[in-house]
Amino acid sequence: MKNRLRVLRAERRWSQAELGERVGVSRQAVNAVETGKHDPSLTLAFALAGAFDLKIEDVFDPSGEAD
Amino acid sequence: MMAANARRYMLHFGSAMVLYMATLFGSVFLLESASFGPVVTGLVAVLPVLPGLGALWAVLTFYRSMDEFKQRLLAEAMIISALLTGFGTFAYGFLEGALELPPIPMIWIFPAMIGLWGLVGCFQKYVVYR
Repeated sequence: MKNRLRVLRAERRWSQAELGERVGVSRQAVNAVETGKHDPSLTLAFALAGAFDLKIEDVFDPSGEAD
Repeated sequence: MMAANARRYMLHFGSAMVLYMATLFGSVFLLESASFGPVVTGLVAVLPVLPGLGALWAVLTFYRSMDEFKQRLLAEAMIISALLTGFGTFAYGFLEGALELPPIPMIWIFPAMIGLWGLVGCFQKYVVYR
């Protein structure tokens, strides 16, 4: 699933590990979501969007593959 | 640094394995040093499996403490290793009959499955989801 995690992280200068810590998952999980190797559950998707104070549809786009 | 859940797992799993080794040696010693009826012999022989239940609990607790991505990896690795072991031993069964190969003792099936689980896990970690 296409997402803007990498860009949003870069804007805030957060590492994958830091984002993972904020939402309670591992760095590997963040990396897998970011690269489209893992489609997050609804709970994780909401948590990730919430970490950036954004709506879920502002972070994830189910219509496309990740970059 | 190792995560807290991984440390807990190492402690629980390690304790189960120490107990397993102790009961294994105890069981072998008892079976070699005395002679019992078939029921007691059977019970003493499977005694080392009991601490295995402790290991099973440790693995389940660890699995439940993981995030969803790691749970997926672990479950996938388990499914792949179970299928590989199943089909591998099934195929060997055919070859055993056709080529008169020596039979493999059943005691090796579980270690083979666990070993494959580890190998598949390494492949996932270092190749697929690096």
